[in-house]
Amino acid sequence: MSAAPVRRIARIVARPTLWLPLLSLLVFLAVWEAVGRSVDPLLFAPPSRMAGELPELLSSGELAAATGVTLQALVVGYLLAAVSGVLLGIAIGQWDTLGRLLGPYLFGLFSTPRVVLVPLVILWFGIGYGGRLFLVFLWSMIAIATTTADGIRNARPDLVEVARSYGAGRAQTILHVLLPGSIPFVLSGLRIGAERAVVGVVIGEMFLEITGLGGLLQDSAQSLETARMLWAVVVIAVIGTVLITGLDALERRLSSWKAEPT
Amino acid sequence: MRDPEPAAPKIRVDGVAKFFEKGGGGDAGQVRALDGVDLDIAPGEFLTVIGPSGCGKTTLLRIIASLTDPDAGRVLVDGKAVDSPSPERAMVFQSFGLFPWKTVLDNVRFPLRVRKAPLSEATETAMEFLGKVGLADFAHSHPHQLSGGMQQRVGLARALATDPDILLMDEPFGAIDAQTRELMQEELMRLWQGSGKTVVFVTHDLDEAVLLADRVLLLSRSPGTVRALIPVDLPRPRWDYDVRALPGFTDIRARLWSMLRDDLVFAESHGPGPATAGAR
Repeated sequence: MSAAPVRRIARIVARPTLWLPLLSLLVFLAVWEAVGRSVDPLLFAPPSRMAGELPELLSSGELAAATGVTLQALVVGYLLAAVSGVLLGIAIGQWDTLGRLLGPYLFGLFSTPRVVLVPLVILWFGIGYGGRLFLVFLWSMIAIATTTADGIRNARPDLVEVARSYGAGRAQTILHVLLPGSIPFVLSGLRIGAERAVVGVVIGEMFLEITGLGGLLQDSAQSLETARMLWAVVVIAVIGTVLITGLDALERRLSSWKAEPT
Repeated sequence: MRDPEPAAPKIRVDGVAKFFEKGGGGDAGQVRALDGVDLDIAPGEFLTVIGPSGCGKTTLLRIIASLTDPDAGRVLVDGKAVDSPSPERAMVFQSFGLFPWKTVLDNVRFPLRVRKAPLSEATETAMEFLGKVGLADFAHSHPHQLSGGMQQRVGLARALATDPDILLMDEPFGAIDAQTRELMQEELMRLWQGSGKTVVFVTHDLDEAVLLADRVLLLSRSPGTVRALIPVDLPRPRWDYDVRALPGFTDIRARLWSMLRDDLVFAESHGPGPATAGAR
């Protein structure tokens, strides 16, 4: 077995993945600082000024509270979207008729900029949690459902037949064959859905109910407090990155069966 | 020839015909893949099926498995007409048909789990059969980590795990290299001998057909009909000696070859035959 040397090589190659991003971050911060100092402080803030602003944002609990509000709507909406999106995706993938009936609406909604629908959402759900949740949920759910349906439709017919030959029913075939075979599709749906959910939560907080990180962003932008505004941006970016990184880890875990070379 | 008359047949193929729509062309023509196949297979018999490509041998197997519906005729198992697949007629596939995302153990456990067997019981049974095919140590590997021969042994263990009366094998060793194939043939004979299981084994390898069989079924070229049923009365167990060197073996092989050759020559000069498009 040549597993040991392969792993050693892999580790050496893996190192730059740690120090290269760190290096690029340092360069990025340096450039930002330089640009930030040379621009009108009302328009932009360098990292140093942001750092100065941080103690107050933290001690007042403002940033934490805003983050909590945002995460709450994001996590609930995204989890709902993941569960219902996968279920709807299986249904659409299994029954073409359903796909043809729902497809146009799903794609139509998906391609419509959400901001355009904010007034409608306000009419339906009012200004509050329900409306924000809806903005997180629906677009994320559509992304997950349509990619999952693609995965189900692309299932290997020979393996579906194997299941059938052993007397597996529809539910068992979905559980043992269709869904595991669709994992790459489901995961790519979850990634697109995560991005849609993050954008949805921010839109809800900026344009529907001024609250959370989106609200902090909106408020501080209007009062020209660029450092505070940028902190909201940083936290939103971190949330998005953590979500995507988590999905990457999930993908590696779930596709471990094909990761090892033969 | 084993006399199927006194004992009731395990499998009776009764006037089975199958048509396929001709692909592509404007005419909605039909191609006959199988036409009026009558066949009795005795309990515990090892039947091999051979014929030119496109003769519908795989279609016949799939009809016995109820994976394909016949357009005419029916299949009876123990005297009862069958119309849906069952683990009682376990299928072994040429492309192994293993679930790549499941471990070897989970693959073998699959038919048992489908039947709602408790996990501990399913695990025990699956490990028993993995032991029988010599793969107990690979229970937690994934299929892609195994060689083709090992993968098909997993397929065999999976088919045997539900203790089926009937094994339906669709060119199971066709994708395996020649040397491994000989080992697999011996292994299959060891597993089958004394088990009382009825085997229908489709192959395109003449040697393999004669080596394994109690009877060889030769199908004619499209549409597939029963051309000959040749008994193979060579002593068993056949792994104790070099069967291929026996005069009996070479005689049967020569007989089958002369019949098969006509159809092959015809196919070579007339194209692969109209049924190939729908033959699978």
